[in-house]
Amino acid sequence: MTLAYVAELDSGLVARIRAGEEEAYAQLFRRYYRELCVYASRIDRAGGSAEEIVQEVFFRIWMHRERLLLTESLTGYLYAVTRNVSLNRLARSQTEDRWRAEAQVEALEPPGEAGSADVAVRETEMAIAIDRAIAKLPPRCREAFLLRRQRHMSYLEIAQAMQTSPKTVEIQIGKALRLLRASLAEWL
Amino acid sequence: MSAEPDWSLVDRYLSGECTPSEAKAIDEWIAADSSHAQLIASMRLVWTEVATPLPQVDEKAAWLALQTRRAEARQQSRSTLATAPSFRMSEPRRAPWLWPALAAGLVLAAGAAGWWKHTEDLRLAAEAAPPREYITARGQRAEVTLIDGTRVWLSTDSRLQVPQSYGATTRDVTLNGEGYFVVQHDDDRPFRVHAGASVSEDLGTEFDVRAYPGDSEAVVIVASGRVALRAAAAPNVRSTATELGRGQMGRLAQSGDVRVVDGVDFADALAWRSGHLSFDERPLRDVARELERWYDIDIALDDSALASAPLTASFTNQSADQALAIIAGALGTHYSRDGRTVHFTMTHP
Repeated sequence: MTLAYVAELDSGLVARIRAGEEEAYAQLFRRYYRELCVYASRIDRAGGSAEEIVQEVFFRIWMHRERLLLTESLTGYLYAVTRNVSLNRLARSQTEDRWRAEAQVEALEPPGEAGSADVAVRETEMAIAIDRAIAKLPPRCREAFLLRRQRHMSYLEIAQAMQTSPKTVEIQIGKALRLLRASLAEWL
Repeated sequence: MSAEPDWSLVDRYLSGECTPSEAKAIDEWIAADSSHAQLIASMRLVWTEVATPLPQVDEKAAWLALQTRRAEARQQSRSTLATAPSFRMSEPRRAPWLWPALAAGLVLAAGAAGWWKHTEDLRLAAEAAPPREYITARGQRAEVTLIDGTRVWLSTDSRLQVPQSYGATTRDVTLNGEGYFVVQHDDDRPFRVHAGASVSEDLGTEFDVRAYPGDSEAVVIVASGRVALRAAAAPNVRSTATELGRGQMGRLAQSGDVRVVDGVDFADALAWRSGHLSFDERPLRDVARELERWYDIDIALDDSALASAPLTASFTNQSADQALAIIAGALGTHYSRDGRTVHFTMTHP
């Protein structure tokens, strides 16, 4: 899909949502919910409230749908709102000044810094791509790799857990990295 | 090492587990070519990402939660509108409960069934946003003004459901029990009452619809203007409808057959609106059912001959006991009352 095509789809969608069309709103939800949850979870890594945040985002979008602009990038806008809602939540639970400053942002304002949303979109898309690439790894290869990376286990520990030899584990993990690198070629 | 690195070594490098000689080897490999440095940098990125698992997301549950929240918000904004439906109760005789039920749970119930598959399901879920419900208990009557100015008098033990979409393009309401409708006519947005097996469409009218659960027929009486009456199962076209005019009563059986009765004394038939109960040669079994709703009592008729005995009577402000005594007197029977339960018994010589 070309960018122009996406933009055209989006502006049609925005117009329909502004008109209160239920199906358009549902389409928006289906297209962005998961992705925005990933993004929200990256902002608030420890919070675990990504779903709540994104539901809040969608609720606000609906309640203020007449404020949606046809000219703006829909993706950028959704990311910006998600970011603001996330930061507002963080500000409530944290006392750091740097968050406080950001908390003043009204949650439906367009993004402050141009381009920041683009970076966020790219990082989120990549996180999703990495997740997919891991899912495509051969099962034992994936298991060894995740124990290594998410549980921080040594080759020996993984070998015990998977009832195999440390040498096999080392090979499996090397293979995992090679395969990931190959399937993420367009990102890296 | 060549362009393709030793991936196990890369793993140990990123994990900080290299021996000094391994670290030296990989540093040299990185320095050999700028593309090598880039590869290590991007693998480090993957390395970091993988440590943060993606959140577990339940899209369907989230959508239902969102639907509920929006429905609640809609309900709140409705109730703050100046034109919001007004609701006035008659003096309750008993059990003063009456609730425009905010059945938000209904969204879940209606939405959960196979929702995610289809656009059509979505549309239905939207339509299934909780309807406003007006409910009268036994012994209660109520008057409701809908958002378009249409007025409804609800008789006892009745329920009127008004969908959220009421007035958008159509005006369809569902009635269980009896109601009297004074409709603000609008050619573009037909007003229809769905009751039992019947649909009554306003053609500029005041009319009464009656279909209690268990009734064998739906009865429509026109007090002014005209009504198109048709079976709920029939296609919504004019040819399937029976037009009723002022003073006519349409009786729609479960089968869909309509019988029209002319010259109805609608003042009498609609007396319930002003707190009168009126019966003209009606079997006691029907009268008893009416009294049960009116007075919130339960009447047992053990004798089938008695149940079929015809009764002509009218009541205005009588208490339950007064009304029961009048009936017993008219039919030559006795009644006994234990709390809310009434027994009629034949008088034995």
